[in-house]
Amino acid sequence: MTTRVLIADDHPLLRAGLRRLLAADPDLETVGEAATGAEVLQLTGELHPDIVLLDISMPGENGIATTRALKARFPDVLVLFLTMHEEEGMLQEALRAGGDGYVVKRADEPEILRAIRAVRNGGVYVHATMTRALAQPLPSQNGALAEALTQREIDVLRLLARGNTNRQIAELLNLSIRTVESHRANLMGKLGLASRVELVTYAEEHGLL
Amino acid sequence: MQVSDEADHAALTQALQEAQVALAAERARAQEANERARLTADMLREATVALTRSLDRETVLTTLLEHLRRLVPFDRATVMVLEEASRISVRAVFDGERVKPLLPPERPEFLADEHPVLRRILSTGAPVVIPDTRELPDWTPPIGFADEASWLGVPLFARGSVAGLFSLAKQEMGYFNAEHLRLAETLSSQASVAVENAILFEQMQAASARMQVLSRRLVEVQEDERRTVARELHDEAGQALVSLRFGLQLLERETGGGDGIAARVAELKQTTDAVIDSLHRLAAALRPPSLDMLGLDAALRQYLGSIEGKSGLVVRYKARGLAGERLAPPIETALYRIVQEAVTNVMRHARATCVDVLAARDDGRVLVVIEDDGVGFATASPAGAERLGLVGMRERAQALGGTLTIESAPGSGTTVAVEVRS
Repeated sequence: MTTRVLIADDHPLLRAGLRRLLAADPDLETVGEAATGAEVLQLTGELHPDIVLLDISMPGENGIATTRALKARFPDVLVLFLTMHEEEGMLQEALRAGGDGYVVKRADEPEILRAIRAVRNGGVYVHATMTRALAQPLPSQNGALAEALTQREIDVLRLLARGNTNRQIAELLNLSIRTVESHRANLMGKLGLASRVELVTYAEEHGLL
Repeated sequence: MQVSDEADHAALTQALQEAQVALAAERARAQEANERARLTADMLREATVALTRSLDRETVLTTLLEHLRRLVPFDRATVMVLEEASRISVRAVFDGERVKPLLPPERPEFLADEHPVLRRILSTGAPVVIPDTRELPDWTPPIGFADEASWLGVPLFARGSVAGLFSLAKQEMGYFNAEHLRLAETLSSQASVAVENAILFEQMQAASARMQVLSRRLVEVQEDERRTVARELHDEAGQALVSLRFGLQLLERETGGGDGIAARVAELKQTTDAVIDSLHRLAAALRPPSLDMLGLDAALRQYLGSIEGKSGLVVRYKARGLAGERLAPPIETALYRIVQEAVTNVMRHARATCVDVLAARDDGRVLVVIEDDGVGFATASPAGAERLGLVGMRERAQALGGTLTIESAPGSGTTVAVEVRS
């Protein structure tokens, strides 16, 4: 059974190249071409493709917003992003919007075909160099206990975690900057923290914010 | 002629007494005049002191009327200032009870040509006294006056030319005399330096406000330009190269790779990839697509990730409360640029091993902190601030009504904190 493909990209030259590329695979049939998000929705309704090869940067609604609308109206249609964007944030957002796969446009022909097949078979395909973005950060190892801290150090910790500078903390707590600096050094040492971001994470995990 | 001694004596006594009375009266008059002159001089001096106390034109002009009132009694009065293109604006008015400054947009304005008497004062620089305005056929009371009979107009000077005038009115006809006129003119000349300073100050304020508007506009224009060029590079030029790459792939397939063609096509594909890469880098450096498409958090994550790769710094980033609704685009842009500038400073000058970026949103405010463990600098040194582009960062924060705080000292790292209402 052939797979019905809708190509969605605002560049005619690119659509033509892609069409010729797909034509080489007898299992694939290009049923139409769309240049905007609105056309994607309209043509999906009319042509019932199995899969939409979707660009992200398009005039009007971009590919990510289009995917949300598309999945809401046609939950069975598969979406494979084919995009210039090689940013991890973009990949995450695309998958969150309901995308089934993400390939960059300069992938080689076999990879594009492989991605279509993978998505068609119910998998999720992500371009090899970008899979790192899918890894979840490991839970932090900030295990040390807040009990070791004095009340003053906890006050300083909380204010640092909220983004205050040393001087601001000195004013808020009516201390000298030097005292704040020494509290800060002590509490970081006790908790084994190296920097403000680690400190914020610690405060977050221990309900200090 | 024979005159009795008695009569002679009596007459002499009387003449003497009369002379004494007259002398006493004369002395009293002189004393009174002296006293009055002293009082007037005091009041003039007080007025001068009061006038030079402020640079604000409204305050200067209001003060002028208040002090004038102690020297020349009047029922109503206004101070008018000559603006560009012979427009006159009424800056302060005494309405019978108190002196009120008039601020835009309530401040009345009219053309000098609508009032021949005012125009005459402004063009000749000479005062005008009208004993009874009802006898002037073409008299229309200027704004701030009703049907008062006596009217006195005195020009105000600044930098040697007429800068405006004040006009006084009194119910009784023929009220203003030569003494009133003299006092009013004296006060006017006393006021001229204060008025001049106030005018200069006002112009300077207007110029600095204009500069600020222009500099903000410049930032906006630059940002728009970058957005356009980045999009053009990334989407248009980039897409064309990708199409070219597709073409090469088809060529590869169709020629079957004989005669060493495969190797040459592969080479061309590599070259194309290199160009696409550099286009992407260029576009992202101008303005990352994620900033417009995904928001501040994604853009910062991407940017800081790339910095870690190329600078050797340990970059830690944490966002809190940014996952929900997007921030307003100008806020996202400004905060992104501030982080970029601050991190660039860290790379160039701080000799740091790590830099932390914290972005947090809560309770209607957004806070971004950029902190490094580098060599720091003396924040009091203006050269340092200049060099580090801190002025531009602060300007961006202030344009959003926010604040930017920089804390650093030689040897103890640098903290840049920016806070804006979201």
